[in-house]
Amino acid sequence: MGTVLTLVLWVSLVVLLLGTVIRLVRISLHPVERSIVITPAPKTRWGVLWFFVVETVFFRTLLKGSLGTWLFGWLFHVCLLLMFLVHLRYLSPTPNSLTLWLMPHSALIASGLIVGLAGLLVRRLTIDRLRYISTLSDYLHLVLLLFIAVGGVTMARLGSVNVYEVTVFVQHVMSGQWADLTFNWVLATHVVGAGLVMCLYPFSKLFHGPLSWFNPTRSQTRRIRS
Amino acid sequence: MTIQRDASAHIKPHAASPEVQESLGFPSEKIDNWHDKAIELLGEKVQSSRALKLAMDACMKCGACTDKCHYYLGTQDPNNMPVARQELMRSVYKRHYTFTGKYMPWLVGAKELDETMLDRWYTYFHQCSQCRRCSVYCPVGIDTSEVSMAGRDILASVGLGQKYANQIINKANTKGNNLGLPGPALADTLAGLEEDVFEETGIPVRFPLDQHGADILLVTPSADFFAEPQVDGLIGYAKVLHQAGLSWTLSTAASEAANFGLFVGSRSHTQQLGMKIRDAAKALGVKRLVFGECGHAWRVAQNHLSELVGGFDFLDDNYPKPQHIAEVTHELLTSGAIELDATRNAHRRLTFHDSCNVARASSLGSTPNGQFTVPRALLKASCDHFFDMAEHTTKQTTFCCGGGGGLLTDELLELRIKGAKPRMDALKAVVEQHGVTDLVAMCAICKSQFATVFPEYGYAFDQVLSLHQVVGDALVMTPAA
Repeated sequence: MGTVLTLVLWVSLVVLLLGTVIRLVRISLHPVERSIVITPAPKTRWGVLWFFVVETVFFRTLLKGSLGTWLFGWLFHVCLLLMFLVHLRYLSPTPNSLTLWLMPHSALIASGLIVGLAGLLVRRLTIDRLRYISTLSDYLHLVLLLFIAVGGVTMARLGSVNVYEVTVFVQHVMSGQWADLTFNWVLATHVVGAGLVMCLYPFSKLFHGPLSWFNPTRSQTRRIRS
Repeated sequence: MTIQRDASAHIKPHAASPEVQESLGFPSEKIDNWHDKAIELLGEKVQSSRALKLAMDACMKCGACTDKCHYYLGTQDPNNMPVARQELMRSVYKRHYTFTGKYMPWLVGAKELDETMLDRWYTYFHQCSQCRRCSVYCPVGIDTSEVSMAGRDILASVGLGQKYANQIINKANTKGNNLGLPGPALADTLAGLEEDVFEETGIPVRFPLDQHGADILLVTPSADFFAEPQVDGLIGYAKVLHQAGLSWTLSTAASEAANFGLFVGSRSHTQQLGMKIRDAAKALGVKRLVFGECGHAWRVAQNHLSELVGGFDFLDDNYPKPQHIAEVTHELLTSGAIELDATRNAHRRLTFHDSCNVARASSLGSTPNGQFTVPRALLKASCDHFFDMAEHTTKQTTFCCGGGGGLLTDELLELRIKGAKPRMDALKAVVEQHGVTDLVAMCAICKSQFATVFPEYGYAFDQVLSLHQVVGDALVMTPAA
């Protein structure tokens, strides 16, 4: 199992990194035909940067557009970030202090992650406007993420995984070495699911965050009379 | 509000005639290889426009835009939800230009551009007034107007142009204005206005035409020459410029500020129409270029014109870029060059409709948010009774009048009436709460649209006023000016 998962993680990491770089380079090379900034807009580059900082941290536009989607979407993204930080524990035998501080709260973070995703899925299923615009992939993205999150929670609740063994495994993988791992169905599906998301991320709508930074409706400055 | 599938599927504009199509360089009728040509053009357009590429790639279907379009709110047709309108193009793009769309179309909703889809393109890309209200709420900033503009251009390029917009572009190209008003008729109209204003005020306010050596070229939408209430706005501009002692002129060759090239997504036609203005300004030797009350004309003038026509290096260094008449009037007011007496509009209780292209695509004056504060400052100086409509219906989140973006045509009247509903609901609230008597607008299309749909909502057609009509009525005029 270790060999297969090592391969999965290597391929996923390469696809994620290369895909992200390719996607960013390609969109940045796409020409901006004309000024289409939505006004009022910042008049300086720093103003635009600040807009994106606020936007990235608080999802301000989404809050303005849909409170329900914002609530579940923001919860999901924040918990995903925190869960990523928790997972840094597997990278080193001595986790950083932030990870150490977050680790006792991982159940709460996982709950937030699942509630956020479930909320987004329920909205998509129950609101006719959202159902109308949704394709199979829109549902599957959410289901896949939920599947990974539930798998993680299951492992934590059952205590069926040897954390020390996983830490050694991840460190081997990250240092480019093949590594062994005791077979565990839940862990295997959790890792394969995560690998699938990493592969999908640069080539699907999941990449919406980085792409939004390049949108001329937002990244251009306001033209103002001097 | 629940969706009603295909509720507005029957509303579509008339097709452009073969003559008009050809005059604009488009095929006279639907071409045989329309599918391949459309797909090829779609690829080219996405490749050459980052905004369009992002519209194809970055939407996560969050649904934040779904209840923001006035046409969706008015018709409940789900294809008028901005994301669904984009999806009409996105699904075809995915089918032909993405891996998943080519090999797993069922997974991502990729669709072929067949006759049915082509008909939907024609229908729903002409049910978007390109007002960009949806973009304000889009977390990734997708601009649906870029999609509908590209869609319309592709449609015209395979022989399916829209009659109203393309006919107007043709008239503007050949006659100088959207109405096809010839020079002598324009001169006669302006002479009549001079008489009217003299009769009303006893002051010889002039409406100069093609006056070489004038300081200012005023380029205004041709509706200002004859339609109500636009013409009252033109009278207002003339009164202000007269009272301020400014030398100005109109132009026969550039007797149109509107630029329908934008609506049909054609850079070349936008450029061609813009060039007429530049050429006229240069030929007349003016020092300043001022635009009248026209929303999208101002968007083009402020954002695109310089780049399209090669700049205005011949203008005065103090006024190197086109100005808006509201900016000019506001500057004159704040500098004390003109005086407004609000008591002259004491019989009016006003509200203001922010036009989309001014509110969301432009600025006015030299202060932030000037596009909102300048017209309101002029109105408040002209009338003591001013009441804004609900916040989510004004300023950046203003609702479209329902007739913008090249849709101000009779065969779309049902759509226009339904699309005006969100604005009418907001108006009704201030009418009931504050006794508002008139709605003021500063866009020729908005004014025509409201004058047409007001009776459908229980108002008189003349309850819409031009901004400069109100200003002109409040202007303190002196014979010596």
